[in-house]
Amino acid sequence: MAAADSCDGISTSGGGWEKTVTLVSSDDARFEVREAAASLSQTVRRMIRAGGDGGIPLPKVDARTLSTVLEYCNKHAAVPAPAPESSSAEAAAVDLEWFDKELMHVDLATLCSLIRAADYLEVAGLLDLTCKTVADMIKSKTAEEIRQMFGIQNDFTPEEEEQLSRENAGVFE
Amino acid sequence: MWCGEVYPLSSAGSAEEEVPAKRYPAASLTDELLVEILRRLPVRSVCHFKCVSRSWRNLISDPGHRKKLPQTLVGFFYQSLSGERFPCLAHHFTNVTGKGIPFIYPSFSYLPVYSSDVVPLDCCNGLLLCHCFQSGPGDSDGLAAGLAARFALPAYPALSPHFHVIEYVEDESEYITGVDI
Repeated sequence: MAAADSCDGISTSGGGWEKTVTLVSSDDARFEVREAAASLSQTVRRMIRAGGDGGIPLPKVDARTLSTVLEYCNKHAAVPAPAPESSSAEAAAVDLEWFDKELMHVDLATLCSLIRAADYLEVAGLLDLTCKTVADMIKSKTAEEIRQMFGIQNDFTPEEEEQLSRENAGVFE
Repeated sequence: MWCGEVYPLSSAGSAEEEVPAKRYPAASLTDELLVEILRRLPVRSVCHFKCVSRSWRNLISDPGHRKKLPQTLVGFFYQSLSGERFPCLAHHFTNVTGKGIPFIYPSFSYLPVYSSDVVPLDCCNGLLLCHCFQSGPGDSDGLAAGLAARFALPAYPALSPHFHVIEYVEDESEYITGVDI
């Protein structure tokens, strides 16, 4: 696509000039995104500084995941930093919280892809959000439920298992 | 004005994931990412998840990860008094599980100056404030000195490679006369 070939170009949107970059997913999907939003990723920020043509390749992130990551970045980069304790700051914080909550309404597979992507792309806020979401999902689960969720075999001997549960009982009861 | 939308300019379709990855998506997370999740759990869950498997137990018990994970109460300091031994007063530490070698040695043998009477006063953020009495030359009553030391050091020296003991030197009227590191 001709439009996509202009990496790090200047483009217009609704009459304003804004610098954009093109990100290329592992499955060769190209995303044009504001540099301010893309720079929430420390990995992308370093690559922008290093320069290059033809878009920034992100071989570890597929299009579906990258699209969600960029949705997060666009929203979080769009929020201006108003004076703290003002009513607009409060409203913006509530709006952002609501947005984050909605973004996390996905299945575990998507969440795990997002965690890996947030880690690779170094988007600290998204890594925190996704890890917190998974932590909330698993915190009340039993060891057996965790094994099923993570595809883990129980490799403890019955004696070891007995000892571990006794240790836990000693700590919490 | 920018509308905040993402524009996929072209798409080549998503690659098929492997079957095991689809069945156990969480299995694809690295140890570092698992720790990132575990550190956001309540301490009760983290302790409970030691029972999941050997690899999870090792991950949670790993000294490098332990710093990041929520911690539970380790144990208690206590004193005992007995006329049948010398010295009569002894300091002890017992792990909360009541088993194994104590995580902390109450003799505080790692302190730069030896004192037979080190009393823990308070603790905060892994630091332990102790009070010790040390006989100085020509001072029969001894000098009182407050010492701050890393709580975790005796059990896990690898955890606190940059640890320093800060020693507040007090005179007989309990004024601080100096600080040594």
